[in-house]
Amino acid sequence: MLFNSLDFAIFFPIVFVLYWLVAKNLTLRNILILVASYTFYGWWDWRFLFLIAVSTLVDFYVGKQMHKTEDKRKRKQLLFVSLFVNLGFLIYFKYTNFFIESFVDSFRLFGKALEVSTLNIILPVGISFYTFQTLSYTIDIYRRQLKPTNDIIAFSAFVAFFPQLVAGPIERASHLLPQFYKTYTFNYKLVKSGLLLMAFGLFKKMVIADRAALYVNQVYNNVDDYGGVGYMYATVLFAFQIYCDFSGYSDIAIGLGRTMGFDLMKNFNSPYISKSLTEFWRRWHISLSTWFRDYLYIPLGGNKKGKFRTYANIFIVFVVSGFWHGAAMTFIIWGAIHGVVLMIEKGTFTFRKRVFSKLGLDKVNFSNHLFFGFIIFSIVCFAWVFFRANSLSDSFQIVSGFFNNFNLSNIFKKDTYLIGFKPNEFKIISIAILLLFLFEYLHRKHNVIKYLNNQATVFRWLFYLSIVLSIVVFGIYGDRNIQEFIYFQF
Amino acid sequence: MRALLSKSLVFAAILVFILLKIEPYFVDNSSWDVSSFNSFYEEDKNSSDIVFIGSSHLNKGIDTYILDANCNTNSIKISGAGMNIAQTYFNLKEVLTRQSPKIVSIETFGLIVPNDKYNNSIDENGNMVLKSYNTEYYKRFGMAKLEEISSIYPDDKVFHMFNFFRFHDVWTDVETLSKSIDAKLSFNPKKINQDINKYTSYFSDVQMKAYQNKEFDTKDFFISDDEKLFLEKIIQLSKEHNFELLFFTVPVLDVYYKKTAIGFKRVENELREIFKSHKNITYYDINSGVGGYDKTRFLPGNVNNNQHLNYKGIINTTHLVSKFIKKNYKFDSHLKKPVRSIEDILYSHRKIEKDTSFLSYISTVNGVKFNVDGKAKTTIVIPKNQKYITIKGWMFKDELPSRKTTRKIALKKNNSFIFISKGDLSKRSVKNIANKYGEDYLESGYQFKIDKNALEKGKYKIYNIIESDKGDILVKDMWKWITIE
Repeated sequence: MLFNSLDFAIFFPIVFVLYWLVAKNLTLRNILILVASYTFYGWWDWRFLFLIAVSTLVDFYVGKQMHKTEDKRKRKQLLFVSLFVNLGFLIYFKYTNFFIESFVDSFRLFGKALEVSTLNIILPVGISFYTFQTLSYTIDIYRRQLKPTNDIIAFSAFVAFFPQLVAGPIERASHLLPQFYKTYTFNYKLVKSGLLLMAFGLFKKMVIADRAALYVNQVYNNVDDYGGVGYMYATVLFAFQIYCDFSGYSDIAIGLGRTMGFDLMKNFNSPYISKSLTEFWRRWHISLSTWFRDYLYIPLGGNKKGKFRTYANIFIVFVVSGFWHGAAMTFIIWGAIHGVVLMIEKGTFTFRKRVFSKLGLDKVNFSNHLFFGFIIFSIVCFAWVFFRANSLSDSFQIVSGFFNNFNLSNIFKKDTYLIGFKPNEFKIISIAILLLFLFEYLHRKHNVIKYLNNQATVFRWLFYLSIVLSIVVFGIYGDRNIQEFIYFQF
Repeated sequence: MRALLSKSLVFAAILVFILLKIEPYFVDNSSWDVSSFNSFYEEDKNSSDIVFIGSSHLNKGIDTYILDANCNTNSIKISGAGMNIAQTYFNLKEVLTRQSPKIVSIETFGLIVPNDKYNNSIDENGNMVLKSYNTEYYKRFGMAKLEEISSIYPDDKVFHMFNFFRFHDVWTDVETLSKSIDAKLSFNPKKINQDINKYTSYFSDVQMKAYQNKEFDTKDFFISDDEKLFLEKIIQLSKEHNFELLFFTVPVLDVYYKKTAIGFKRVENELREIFKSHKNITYYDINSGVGGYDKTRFLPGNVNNNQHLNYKGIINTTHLVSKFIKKNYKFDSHLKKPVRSIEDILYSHRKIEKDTSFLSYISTVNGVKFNVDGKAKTTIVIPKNQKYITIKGWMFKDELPSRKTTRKIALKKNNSFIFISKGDLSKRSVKNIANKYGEDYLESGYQFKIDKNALEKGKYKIYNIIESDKGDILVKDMWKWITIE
């Protein structure tokens, strides 16, 4: 079920009302969450509920057994069972074809053609997200950082919690699971802020992301038809598309959780105003970057084993992160670009600090922020080319187009900035992005929601109505096709 | 929780109210078929005696102002481009929510002409086939619309039910949107059908030759099972709502009719077969009576099955239908209705009062003066060799500045053919007349030019007409005639 669908518009109010009717009975409430979550997921394809159920049962059992025993070897074996089952599903459904293709390609390099065909495998929606979430549970128990739960219903609801099941935030058991042991009383302000956050997320998704997709898809799916300026617009728009798409989903998920009294972790924090790539990764997909930090970077040694190992660990984490996103070389290169730039950033930190100090670039002011912000945004956009391109050859064609096929006079030509758009859509998306930035900028300095709550009822209601009306009128839906959330495929 | 629910309900109610209020602006109100529905909604409830439903052939086939003047009725016309019998059924259902007519008259072009979109109305699953023309969207929110939408888009009802969803991205074309908003805001239901179809152009000789050389296949002229199904549904409605059904065909081009009469006859027979057991249904095939019309009664267009009448053709057809209705139906309880149109005055023998404050004058017809050397004549003859008729004249109503009026001219042969000009007449310089009556009348001269073929042969009396911006109609009998040879 998509958040921006009529099905969900009917599903949510029903679940919401039922939820608060049974909210005081913990077992009943968790059963309701579980049923709602399985309905939500099964709406897409009920067969894959089996995978979630198996992961849930295995991890529940493994967690309990692991906690019971002091035998290190047995604990490792149990952890291995959890890793094997969860990563096994993930590897089979997501990476099998990639490995087959890579295997065939590697033989082709040596002049031998193999007659091996790929398998017809459907990728279960959100498998990467719930797999990582359940893994955090068993790993934390293995590390003795978490006690296992005895409540199978609460645990099942935790694994399948529908607001964040298919695209995160990837919650840690230590943060989310205890929330399933508590009952909540209805808090009007909290529910209202949750609903507002959901509306804001829908605005980002339907007005900005899906509109940007019209342009981006046209260019990236027909790379031969366009040149450098078209690539540039498409790439910049993709940067906004993926941000609004993914952070929009997170906003809806967090808002949904909030309407039921749950607190989900923040997943984005205005990443495009970062002054360094390190800062960008502190602000972008926070739940995944901290997951990799805690369960990959630190176990690899983090920064405790010398400079070389630190750089190598950064690189490994980002290549794996790329691979987590998708089973294709383009994603690996995307991860590698981030890894390399982060290594350079870390390696030149002292040198840069000295130079910037001499040039006055170390001062905290608007112009410096703008300068570094622009550089980091450009690097991020460059990497997005590989993330979005349909193939490696397409991505190289686009990158070379930036340098060889860039005609400045095309920047203001209608033919260039209206690709895939109807008249005036470029204006609307530009205004919407500016409003988004303005909102985020203001929100960093002041709490805009709090400010809004202090206004007169008429003003507030006008604001709420204008959000809903702008989604109805300016949103992309219907004949122009609802776009799935990009991160569903991961 | 209670506070949230009550506030949510209030919020939802306000939102729905706003959306339903702005809903009509999401369709193109400047198009004639949307206007056709808009005018229907502006009519008073249960005020119509006759309801006409049909495609563009009906729109350019019947002038309700002429018909009402002739029959002393109040009729409405709902037409949509390419409307088929399934859409006719749903439109009729919508009509019946607001009107209880004595006669429902359905134009049958959509049943006769072979075309996929007309003959295959429903698919193998029983859903209506998607139409290229969207009359379902012109209806207001209600059961008839819901039923139609459900039958066309069973999986996407909500999206198609509300125009603010279905056409939400209409704002991208700001020019069309502003035209539509302007049309909606300035919409005058009384004017809607009055002027829009008064076209005087007609088929050229080249197009006629193409018609003569073209072969038309009639094997697909038949009533399909789908169409029979919807005809039965319409008949069922007629029983439930106790109205008479009149099916009729607007005439086609004579050359075309000669080649396709066998197909027309086949459809007629099939319709008569369906209707024979129902006493409240009549079928009136005008084509078989008149054998089609000549080229001067059709708007020029592509050489195919699809011909639309011009104003001359509309006048003729409306008279035939009026005559048929007057002969076959009685409107016992009908009260004498107020004057709504120029037609009401000119067709119904109403006495035209002398109005000394309505100053008016006809100076020339094709350059010939009515008054030469003090000798006044009343008739000017238009000889055969002259293709156009140009009438120059002048009119002014005291206390009604020219800028606040629409000036028209009417040419009345007899009660079966009255030509009323479209829009405001073009101005001309009339210095000599202005000198006669004073400076205030400088803007009052007019010139009216018309192709002689847009009229029938015969003697026409000339009327000068002023319509005020408040809707007052002032008619002046000029007691001058022209004779077309």
